[in-house]
Amino acid sequence: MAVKKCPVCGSPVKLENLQRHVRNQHPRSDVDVESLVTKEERREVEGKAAGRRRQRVTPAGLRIVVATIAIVAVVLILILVNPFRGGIGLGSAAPDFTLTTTGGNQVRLSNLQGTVIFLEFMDVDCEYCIAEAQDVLPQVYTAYQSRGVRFLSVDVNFVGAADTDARIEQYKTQYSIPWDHMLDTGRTASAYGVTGTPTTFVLDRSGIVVEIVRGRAQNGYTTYATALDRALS
Amino acid sequence: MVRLSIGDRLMLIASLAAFGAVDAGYLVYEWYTPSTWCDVNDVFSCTKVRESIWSSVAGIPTATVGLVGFAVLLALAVLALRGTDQIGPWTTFRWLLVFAILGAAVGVGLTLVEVFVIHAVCLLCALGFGLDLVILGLAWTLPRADQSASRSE
Repeated sequence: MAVKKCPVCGSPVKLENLQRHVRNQHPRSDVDVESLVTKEERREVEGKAAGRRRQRVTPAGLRIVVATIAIVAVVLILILVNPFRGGIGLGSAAPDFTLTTTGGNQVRLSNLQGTVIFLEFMDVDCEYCIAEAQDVLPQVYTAYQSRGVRFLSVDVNFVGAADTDARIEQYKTQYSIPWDHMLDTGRTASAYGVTGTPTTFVLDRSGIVVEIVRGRAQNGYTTYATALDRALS
Repeated sequence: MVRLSIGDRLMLIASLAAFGAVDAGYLVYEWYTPSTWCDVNDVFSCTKVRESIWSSVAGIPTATVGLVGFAVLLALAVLALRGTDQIGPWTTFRWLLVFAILGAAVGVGLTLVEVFVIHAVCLLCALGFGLDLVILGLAWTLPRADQSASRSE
């Protein structure tokens, strides 16, 4: 970067700005502005300006760019839409399972035919599960347990420290949760396609999935209440 | 074999950086939204990664680093395309290379954490890492391409 001292104030000024600097900052000085920059210096400055060139994109390059954008866009969409997700969908029969509650009782899903089931897959270390256990599920339980809905939670042990019956019991006590919790010792979560917590299934009296809520329910109580009303009707 | 011009490479970098910014931006958005997404199984699970302590630092989602990094790479590529060859002490190409290396370093670190600590891989994070590696590859070739272009002029 070519710099020259201003002949009036002595400050270093870029060559291309020198004449403007003297004209604007020292309008009363008797310096000949035109003679401030020599012909060689002027050529140097103009040469640099010409060298500042826009980079051209060639037609072949543009085709490659478009192809790359298309490929990346397809990959991004595939990840987001996720057609490879396993598990069950709405209208499917809920896979049967037999698990032991933290209280030591065995629960076999197929033995609960004729009962609407609220089946939550959770983890005691999952912050969203804890949040729901505090601000949504107690209301849902209070409103629907008396209407015959059976509440079951399956701890999938996805995150944090290893979950045990003792830890789950501690969790239940801490958040005053009255319904049965079971540790997923088999592949229950996998059979249901559960890959994140909380994931909640509402099953009708025939064991058909009428609602799947992945993550926290968007509308909290209303989401679960609507699904349970549908299952009970 | 098509030989890419400097402009082609910069346009590719800008496009990939734009995708990277969208990807990282979506990850930031999802971090604040309590729902599961981009889960394939127990191993490829964005939810599992998000629920780990590595998904945020001081309450700020880690993906913010990616968002800022890709935005800087995009801005640098656009500036270079418009003819800005020098920013401060370094050439624009050098800045691009430095930020691409930084992004790749962060990407390597977080991918190792995902594989060996969290035992789950977030596909959207992996996509961002992949984009940064391609950008790094392209940025690596820019100074040499610039030299040979100057020689041929």
